[in-house]
Amino acid sequence: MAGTLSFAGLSSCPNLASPSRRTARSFVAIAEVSTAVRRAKSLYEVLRVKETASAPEIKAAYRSMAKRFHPDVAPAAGGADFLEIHRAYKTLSDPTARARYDLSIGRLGFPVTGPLRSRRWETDQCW
Amino acid sequence: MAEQFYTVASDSENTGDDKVQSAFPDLAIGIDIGTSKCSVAIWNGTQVELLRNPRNQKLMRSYVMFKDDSPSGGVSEELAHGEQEIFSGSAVFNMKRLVGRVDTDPVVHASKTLPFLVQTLDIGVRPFIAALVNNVWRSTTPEEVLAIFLVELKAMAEVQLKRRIRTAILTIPVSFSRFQKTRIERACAMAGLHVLRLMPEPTSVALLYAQQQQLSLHENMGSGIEKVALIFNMGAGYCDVAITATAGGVSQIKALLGCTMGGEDILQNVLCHLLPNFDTFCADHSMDKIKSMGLLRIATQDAIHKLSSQPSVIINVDLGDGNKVCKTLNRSEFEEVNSKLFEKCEKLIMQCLVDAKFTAEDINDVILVGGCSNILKIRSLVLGLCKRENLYEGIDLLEAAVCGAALEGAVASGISDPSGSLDLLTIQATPLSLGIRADGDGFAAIINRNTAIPARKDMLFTTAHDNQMEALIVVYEGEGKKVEENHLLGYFKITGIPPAPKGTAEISVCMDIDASDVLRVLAGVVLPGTQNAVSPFIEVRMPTLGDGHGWCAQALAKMYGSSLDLATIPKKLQQ
Repeated sequence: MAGTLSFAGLSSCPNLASPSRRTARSFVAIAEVSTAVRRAKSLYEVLRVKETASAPEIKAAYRSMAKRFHPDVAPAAGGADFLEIHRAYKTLSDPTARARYDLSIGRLGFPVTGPLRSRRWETDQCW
Repeated sequence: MAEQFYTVASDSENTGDDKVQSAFPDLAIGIDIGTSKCSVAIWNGTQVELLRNPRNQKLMRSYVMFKDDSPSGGVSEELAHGEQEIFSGSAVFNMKRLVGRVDTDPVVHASKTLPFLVQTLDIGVRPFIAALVNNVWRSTTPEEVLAIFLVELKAMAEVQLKRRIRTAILTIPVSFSRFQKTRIERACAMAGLHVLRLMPEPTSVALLYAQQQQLSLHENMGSGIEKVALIFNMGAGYCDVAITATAGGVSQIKALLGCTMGGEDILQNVLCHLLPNFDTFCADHSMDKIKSMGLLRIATQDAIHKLSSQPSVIINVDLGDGNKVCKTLNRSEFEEVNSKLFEKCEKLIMQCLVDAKFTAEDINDVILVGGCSNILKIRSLVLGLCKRENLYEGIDLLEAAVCGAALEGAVASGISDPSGSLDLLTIQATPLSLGIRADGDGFAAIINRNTAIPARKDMLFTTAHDNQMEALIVVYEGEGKKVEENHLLGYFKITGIPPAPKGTAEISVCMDIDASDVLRVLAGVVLPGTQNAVSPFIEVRMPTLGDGHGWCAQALAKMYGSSLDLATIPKKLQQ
């Protein structure tokens, strides 16, 4: 939720698609999946894991997603998808950040209000 | 540079090879330009193959001999130049240590003891480098020397592969600044090569390791267990450490660190030990001194190599003029002379473990590569720190980097292999932090080192003065807390900041590194509390600076003082 929000907010910085260095292996797969990623609502959906996924499962999911969306293997996608995948992984692979994120999306049954919700934790790694 | 033509060998002994090669007309080659030795490799359709020169060498000495009109790197010559000839002042070598450095750099100063001419004026511009041709010092540049050498490597590969080579993956040291990388790209452009990727050497080794893990898993039908490897690479010029986590053919670089320190420093330490006035011995660059210094270098190099297999070695060189070096060098003496260097190696490894958030117990494999890995002390210290008995086997310490580069070349050229041996990916990380000048001379990092590439991060800054309308964005790379300790990459000005008390305007600075490691900096004024731009942002591709970039920072300070400064916003306020 918060992830997609702030990503849209970046519209002031134009999307820097890296020039494709080679022809895409399969356009169909990339197109199909990239729309799926954009529609994704939660970090769990970005990585395509269950909310109950274990740490090794999240790691494995990140790797397999990287193999499909990293600009080295899918230059047509331009790297934006991988950035999103990496951000999701960065949050979900860190137990503290994941717990905080779970709280913010109300996964534990009690949605938290207040400053926690408005902060874009999973995208802000620079401070 | 004039177009070069090469005769294509007409006798096709290997028609099979031809087919494979023509199937990948644009396959990038992997090149490892070492400080001391170079190699070229390519994916041949089933595996990585190192190319050999006509003297059947896979590893070729990196130097360019300047003689009469045509400089030559000796790659494809029938007869190799002897070491004595290379140390005669006519050849320029160690280019990788000199490229992209200014004449105030200690590494450039240390190179003044080399037989060719390295002259410095200590004002922060590129050093003067020259080779002795017919008793005259003829000037050149590290980029030019690299380009001449690359042209020969390219020609050698074209003759063997019977096609034109346009693209290449080059390995570089971890500690190379972005400015140095542009110099390497420039040398490649001069040689007619398009650089697809510049890979830090240990990450190239990591890719090879990932492939080996992937293949062995296929054999054992194991699951995708994560394996963590520490890669220590020390060649003649540079020392690098990287930690990689590998599973399912994906190699994720967790941390990497490097410094300019290698076999050349070890050699100089020993030379200093043997000849206390070594630094000044060659200062006059007379022919006799150059010649005797060459002899001493050859003897010392040889002695250091021998110390890896024997406890002591005798060095006996007549330097002329009654000067003589006759000494027995034993291993403990050698280790004592280089003790500071070994300590620095230890620090690098420990810091890399901390950066990767691993302990020695987490490391599954210890991989040692580079020529200096033969030194017993280095082996024992790396194994000791990783609490290991044995090194990882199955990786050639001199060929690993170039093999990884060739694999990356195949992967980046879009080649897939039915057996799955190219089903690989490296998730690279930034070796150095990137940020801007803020709060006076402070360095505010926006992308921290060891961030996965591609990366994109933004950070808000504010004005340092009341009613400040303009601000300078000065971009640096490095780990120092103060900007002067870091490399300046470029600068630009943001205008049209709405007049307001200091600390209220919001300036967003976004840094973007794409998969091919191109850095772009975007900055502009945003409405406080929102992400909305007041006016169009400015996007600048970095680095923008040429030589003498140290001067630019001084000129900016002289011209503007602190009037266009930026300040960081306290963390709590950055919502």
